Amino acid sequence: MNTFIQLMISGIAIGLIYALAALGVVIVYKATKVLNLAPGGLLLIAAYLAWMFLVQFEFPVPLAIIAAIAASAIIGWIVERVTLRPLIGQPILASIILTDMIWFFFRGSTFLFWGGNPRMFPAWLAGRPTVLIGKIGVPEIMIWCIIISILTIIALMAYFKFTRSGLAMRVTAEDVIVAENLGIKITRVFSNTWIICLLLFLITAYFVGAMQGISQDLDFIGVYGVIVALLGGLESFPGAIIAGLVIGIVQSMVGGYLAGVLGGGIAETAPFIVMFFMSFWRPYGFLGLERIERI
Amino acid sequence: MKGRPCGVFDVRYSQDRAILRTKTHWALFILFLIFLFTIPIFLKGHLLSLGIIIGTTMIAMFGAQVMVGYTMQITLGHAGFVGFGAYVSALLTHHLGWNFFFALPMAGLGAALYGLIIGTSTVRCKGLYMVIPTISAHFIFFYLVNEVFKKWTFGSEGIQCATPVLFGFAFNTDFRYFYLVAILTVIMGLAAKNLVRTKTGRAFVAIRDNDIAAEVMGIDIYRYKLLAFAIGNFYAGIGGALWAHYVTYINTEFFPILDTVYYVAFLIVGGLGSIMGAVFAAIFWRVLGEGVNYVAPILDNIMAGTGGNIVSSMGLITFAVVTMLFLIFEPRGIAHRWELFKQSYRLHPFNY
Repeated sequence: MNTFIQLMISGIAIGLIYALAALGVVIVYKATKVLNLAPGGLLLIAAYLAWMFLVQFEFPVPLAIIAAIAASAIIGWIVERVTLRPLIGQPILASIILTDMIWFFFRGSTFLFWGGNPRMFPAWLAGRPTVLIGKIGVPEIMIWCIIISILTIIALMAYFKFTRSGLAMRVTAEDVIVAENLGIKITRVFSNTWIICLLLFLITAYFVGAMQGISQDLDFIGVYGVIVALLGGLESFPGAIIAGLVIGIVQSMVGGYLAGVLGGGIAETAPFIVMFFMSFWRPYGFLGLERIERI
Repeated sequence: MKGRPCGVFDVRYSQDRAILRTKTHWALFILFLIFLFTIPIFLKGHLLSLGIIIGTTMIAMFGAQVMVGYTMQITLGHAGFVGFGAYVSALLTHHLGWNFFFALPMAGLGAALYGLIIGTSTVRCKGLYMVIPTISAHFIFFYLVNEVFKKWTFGSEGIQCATPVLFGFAFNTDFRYFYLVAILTVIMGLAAKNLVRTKTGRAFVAIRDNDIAAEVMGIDIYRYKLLAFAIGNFYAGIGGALWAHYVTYINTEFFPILDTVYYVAFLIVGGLGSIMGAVFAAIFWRVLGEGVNYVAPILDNIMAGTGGNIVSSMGLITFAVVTMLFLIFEPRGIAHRWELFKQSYRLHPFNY
């Protein structure tokens, strides 16, 4: 039973990380109708930027975090401005491949600037102890991860609900032409979505980096982020969160109980097997919009 | 009618249907074949092996073109399918002692079968969401090789692939292997070119353009989507098997997720929806990769001590930037430029 709860908590923590990455994909898809396959690369660059300010430049902690936020926001803005804006109105395949290439570009950049050696966050972040809740040992970082993820999701919801730019984003997601007629500056909305997307990846990157260390393998989390977004339904925030939790828990449970029987790789593969069968049952994801098509 | 040379008029249907319509076409085609079969005499070592790799990539690329360019079933698992073919052939020759030339078609059929299993998801899944089953196919392939069939595939240790032997004649040098690859590439290329002109090919194009309209017109879209998966992956399997028996040693590291993206990305760079596009795509990809491999160590020497890792970053960055530039400035690919060139050549003295 203790193992079960332990696996459950780590599953929820991993699942929320996936959910945050997936939210980045969902936000971009809702506003710009571009399937963002770049989270791998964006997550990597966010993680390395966070590491650079914290460890390489040895900024004081609050300043390092603010600097990382600013740098990620700038990268999000540049990505939208330079690569995606010329592709508005192009076929979907072009934008998919373009976002893929953004992934490769940033993966390459991290190799170029920081090399292939794994990096570690400082001890106050990466070396947190395991705390005991009752008799169950839980890494403290996972508890923080769960708390901060939930707070981030609440903050995001509040942003969409209560601010003007959040409202503009919701209108744009509903209908671009209506939004334009209402005097909303579409291009600014697009930039905002990419900036928010990058900030979500930055939060993800802090926690993933603290749990697993920073290396180029982190982009795997990004691949899961895309898959989770697709599984939850590309148009749905709750869907992404549910799907993230499902995938995280499945992965953690399968890794905990079945790895001995089915081999160590099953933990990484189980989400994909689930996903493959899910594409028969609910091809539009859990809560995705089922399109009614006409000729 | 696009692409008709000046002053050439068809008087029979057979002329209208022919792939090689004029005497110039025939002459160029024969010249091309002569060029293809004499070039290995002049090429040395490295370039010859580049040629072989271009050939095997091209075969797999034809498959990607059938799936993505003609039927618009977005596939992000092509490297997995290529690897599947490679492993089928490797296992058959290694454990059962089959001749490569029997294992090769089986590799194609095995990959096609795997593609069919994955393709069953097209019954409800379409458009963007096809990313899910195909990318799953890639990772399930990894799992199958590294865990489930570890006893036979030796997991990550990799497996040896025997050199092909036909009637006692071993294709054990680059020079000999080049001819094998060249002949197969030409045959597979012509087959693909022909396929897309048949009823099946027209059905594929109809599904690509609008699958609901295609269904209304009486095309069994599920059947044809499955067929596209089977054919595309047959090509992938053949390409993979040929490649595997050239490098003679494979493990799953050779089929990374990056490659599946490159297959689709360079297809767009080459040009979607034409067999020439696949040809350009394969050549462009491999030549660019070779150029990067050549330049990266030099740059690494010049910029030594900056702490970065240029050798592993150059390829990614170059490929990404080149593909982005193509997507932004020439989304219709090299094949489109090629068509424009042919057009202006045919009409040469005039503008139209």
